[in-house]
Amino acid sequence: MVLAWVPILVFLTVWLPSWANTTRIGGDLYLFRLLYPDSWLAIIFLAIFGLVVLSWRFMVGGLWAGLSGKGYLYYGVPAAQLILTSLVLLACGIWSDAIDRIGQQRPDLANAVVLPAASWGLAVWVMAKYWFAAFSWHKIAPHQVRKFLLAWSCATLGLMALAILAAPPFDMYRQKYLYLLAALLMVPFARLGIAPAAWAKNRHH
Amino acid sequence: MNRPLIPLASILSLVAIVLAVDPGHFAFAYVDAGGHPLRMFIAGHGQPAVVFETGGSAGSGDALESWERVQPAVSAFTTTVSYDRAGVGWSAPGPQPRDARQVARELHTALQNAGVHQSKGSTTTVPTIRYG
Repeated sequence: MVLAWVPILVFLTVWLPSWANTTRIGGDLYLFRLLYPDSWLAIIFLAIFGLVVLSWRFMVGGLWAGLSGKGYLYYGVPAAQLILTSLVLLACGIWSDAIDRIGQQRPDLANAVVLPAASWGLAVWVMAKYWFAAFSWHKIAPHQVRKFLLAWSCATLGLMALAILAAPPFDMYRQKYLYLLAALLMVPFARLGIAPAAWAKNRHH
Repeated sequence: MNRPLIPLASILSLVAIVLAVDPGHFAFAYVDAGGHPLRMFIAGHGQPAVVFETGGSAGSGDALESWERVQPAVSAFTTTVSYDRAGVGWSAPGPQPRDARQVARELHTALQNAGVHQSKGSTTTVPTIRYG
């Protein structure tokens, strides 16, 4: 995955200063540096790192469904993800005015309901993910667990650092813990543990 | 169950609970501007109070976030207020017509209700807004 990203980064490093029209990027970069004067370089580095992790995540996240050898899982899991995402986007588009209206008419809901609900929703998701991982990795050899734990630790710590550094610098938004909870969810864990089991079951059949 | 992962799952569950207990908050306030609330962010202490108006190409103005890099710097030595005009950002729509006089009246009422001290000529806003 890192090797796949190297040509992209090399191309950007050569193309941007040489041929690209950087007028717009220059303005955006100036604003970005104003917003994050001390950490803008670290944020760019960690964001690229995050993109590498995310692309790996999308590659391996569905492995277990493919390795299971079951057609309904192979087609059903990505289809369900696609349909669910489309429905959420569609709902946001259809009800965006209504959501804005509710926000304007009941501003107290943001602090009283939305933030706590989002926080606890993410916390429950974190707990479910890691306890499910503890169960799904039961047949994996200890040395493989240690190896993945090391990779997971590096990736998660990098994403948590990004969540802290790139949190909105605006003094009026004070909910940085949400980003930390989200960072704990980015690196796949439980589904990777299911993949060998799904493969073994497939071979057994 | 994978034994080495049990401590990790336990620790991360605890961390998740600790993080979720303090979900944070939006620090802006909603202040009545004569029957409808305006979203305001008030910071700093001192006189005179500086009110940040948001212009913008749409005529009705932008959201108060436009001032976020300026307001903290000014808040270091006096009271500052940024706000969303009625119907802009997260402020509820106000009565028609939306002319400068109405916008100024709403701001005046909201500042009074927010307890921001105003003395004529000392509260700084852009020249297009004047108190009626």
